[in-house]
Amino acid sequence: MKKWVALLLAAIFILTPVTAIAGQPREAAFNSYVFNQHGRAVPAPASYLPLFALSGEAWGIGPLRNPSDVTAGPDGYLYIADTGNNRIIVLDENFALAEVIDAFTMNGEPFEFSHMSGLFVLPDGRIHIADHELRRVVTVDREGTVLMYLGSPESELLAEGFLFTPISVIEDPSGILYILSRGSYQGALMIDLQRDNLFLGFFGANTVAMSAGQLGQILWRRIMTREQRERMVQIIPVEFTNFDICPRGFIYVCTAFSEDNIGQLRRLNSNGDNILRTPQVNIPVNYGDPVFYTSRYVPVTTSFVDITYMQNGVFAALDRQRGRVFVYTADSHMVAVFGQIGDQLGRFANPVALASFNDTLVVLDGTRGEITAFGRTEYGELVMQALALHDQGRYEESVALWRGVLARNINLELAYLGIGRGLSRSGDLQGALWYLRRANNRQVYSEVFEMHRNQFTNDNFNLFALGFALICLAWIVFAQRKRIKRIIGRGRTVYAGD
Amino acid sequence: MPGIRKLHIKGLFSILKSPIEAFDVMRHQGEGSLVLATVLYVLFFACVVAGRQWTGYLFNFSRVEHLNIFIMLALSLGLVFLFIVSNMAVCTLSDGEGSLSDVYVVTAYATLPFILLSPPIILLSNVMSLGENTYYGLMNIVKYGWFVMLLFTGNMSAHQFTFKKTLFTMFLSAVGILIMLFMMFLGFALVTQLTEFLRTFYNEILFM
Repeated sequence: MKKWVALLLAAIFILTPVTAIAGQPREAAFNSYVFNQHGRAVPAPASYLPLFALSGEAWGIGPLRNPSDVTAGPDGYLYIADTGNNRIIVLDENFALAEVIDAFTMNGEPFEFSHMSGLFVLPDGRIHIADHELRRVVTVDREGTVLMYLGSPESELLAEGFLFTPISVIEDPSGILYILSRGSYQGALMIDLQRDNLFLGFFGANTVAMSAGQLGQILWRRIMTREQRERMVQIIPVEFTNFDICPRGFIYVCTAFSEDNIGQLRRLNSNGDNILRTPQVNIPVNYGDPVFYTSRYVPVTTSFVDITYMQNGVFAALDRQRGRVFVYTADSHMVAVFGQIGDQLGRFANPVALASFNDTLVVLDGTRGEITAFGRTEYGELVMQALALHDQGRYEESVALWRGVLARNINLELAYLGIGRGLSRSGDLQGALWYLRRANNRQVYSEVFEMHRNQFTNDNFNLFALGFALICLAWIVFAQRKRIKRIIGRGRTVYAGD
Repeated sequence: MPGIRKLHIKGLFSILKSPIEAFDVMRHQGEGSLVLATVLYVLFFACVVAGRQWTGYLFNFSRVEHLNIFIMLALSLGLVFLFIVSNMAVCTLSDGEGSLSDVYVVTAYATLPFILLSPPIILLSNVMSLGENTYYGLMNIVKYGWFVMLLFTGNMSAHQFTFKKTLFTMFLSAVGILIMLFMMFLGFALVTQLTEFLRTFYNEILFM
C-alpha cells in the first residue's frame, strides 16, 4: 500500500510542471530569430510581443473597411486611414479614440475622398492625404477643411501617358513634397510647395541591378528586329512601395521585389543616393528572409510594403509575404523579427502598413480592419538601450549593456561587435579581437588588429632590433666564413711556426 | 628511360633556379626519385591542409564544420593524379617520350615552390591586415603561377615536346580530366540506380 502511495505522489510531482507551464507568461505566436554569419536563422529571444489588437468596434465607431495606412504624427497621435469609410481615425497615446475626421469640406462645400491610401501628418496638425483613385493629393486640417488640392503635375519631364496615382506622400523639413505614384519606376515625384507647387523632377529611382541574364537580354536585343524588341519585356528598375522620413530629413524607402533581396531597403539623402550603411563596407546584405524556392522552383521572396523610422537610426520594415516585421539598426544589422500570417494575436491576414508609435510598433491589417500593437520585451529594451549608446559612439558605456544582451542571446553578432568596439576604445585590444572575431566583422577586426600589431611592435621594438642585428651578424659570418677561417688558420700557423 | 630513379636533392633545388635546364639534366642524367616524389606529394597535401587550417582569420574563409579531409584530398592530390593519368593518355597518343613514372616524378618536383612558399605565406597571413590584401594576393599568385610554370616545363622536358605541342597537350589533358570526371559521375549514377533497382526488386519479391 505504501508503495502505491509513493508512486502516486511521484506521479503528481512529475505531472506538476506541465500545469506550471500553462501558467507561464504568454508565449509569442511566432518564432524569433537572427541570422548568423552564414545567413542561417538561429533562435533568438523575442524582442517584441503583441500587446493587443484593436478594431473599430473597440472604439465604438463600427468596423474599419480596408484601411490602408497607419502613421504616427509628430503631435503624439496615431492616424489611421480608414479607406473604405473615407475617414481618418485619430488615436491618442493610450490607443483610445481621440477623434474621427469624416466630414471634409472644400471652400465650404462637402468634399468626398474616393480611395485615400497614404497619410502624412505635419507638426502643425495638417494632414497630407494621397487619394490614388481620383489622382490627387489633398491637404486637410484636423477639422477636415481642405487647405490644398494637388492634381497631376504637368511637365515635360513626365512621359506621355504618365498616370498620376499617388499612394504615399511625405514632406521634408524644407517644404518639398515627395509623392509616390504607383507604377512609376522613375522614383518619387518631387513638388516644391514653397514655389507654387512646382514639379521638380523624380527622386531616388532604383537602379537596374545588372545580372548575367539581363546582360544576355541586352545582347539579344541588338540583333532583333524592332517588332521583336517591342514585344519583349522591358528592363526597368523596380518601383518602390513605400517610404518614410526620419527627423534628420533622410528618406527610407522599401521595394517589394528584388531577385536577391539586396538593396530592398534604402536610406536616401537629398540627392537620392543610398546612404544606408552595411556592417562591412561594400559588402551588401540581404534584407528580410532569404529567398526560398518551393518544390516547383518558384521563388518566395520577401515583399516589403512599408517602412518606418524608429529612433537611434533603427528602422523597421514590413514583409507582406510572410507577415513579418524586421527591425534593423543604422548599420543594417537585423536585431528583431516578429509577426506571421495567421489567426492568433500577433499574426495577420493582410498586413498593409507599419508605424512606430511611442515605444510600440503598430501593424495595420487591411483585411481584418484592426491594428496590432507590439511592445518591447526586457531583451528588446536592452538591445535598444545599447543601440542608443552605440549610435552616439559611446562604445565604452555600451559594453555593459551588450554583455547583458549577450547573456540573453548568445547568437547576436551585433552584441559581440558592440563589446569589441567598446573594448578597443578603452584599450583592451586583445579582448576586443576576441569579440570582433565572433562578430565576424573582418573590416573592424582588421582595423583593431592593425592597432594591436603596431602596439606589439612598439612595445617589443628592442627585441625586434636585436633579432635583426643578430640575423645580420649571422649572415655576415656565413658569407665571410672562408675569410674568417683563413684568419683563424693564419693565427694558428703563426703560433705553430713560432 | 634508364636511371631516373636516383635520389638527388641538389638537383631538386636547381629547378627553382633554372627549371628548363634542370629538368633536362634530370631527364638525361637520371636524377629523379620516385620516393622523393612521393614525399613531395605528401608535403604538398600537408601544405594544402595547413593553408586551410592555419591561414590567418582575415584571409581564411573556410568553415570548421565543413572540414572534410577526403574532399580536400580529392580536390588537391586527386586532381593532380587525374592530371597525370590524363596527360599520360594524351601524350602516349601524341608520341610523348615520357613514361608514367617520368610524369609522376616531374609533376611532384613541380610542386616544390608551392611547398616552399606555403609556410611563409601562412605565417605572414597571421600578421597581415586587410590593408595588405594586395600583397597577400600577389604572394598567392606567385605560389600558384610558379607551380603551373614548373608543371609546364617539367612536362615539356619529360615528353621532349616543343613549346607549342606542350601547350596543345596540356589543353587536351584538361579536357581529358573533364571527360574522366564526367565518366566517374556517370558510373556513380549508374551504380546508384542499379542498387536502387535491385533493392526495389528485392522488396517486391519479399512482399509477393
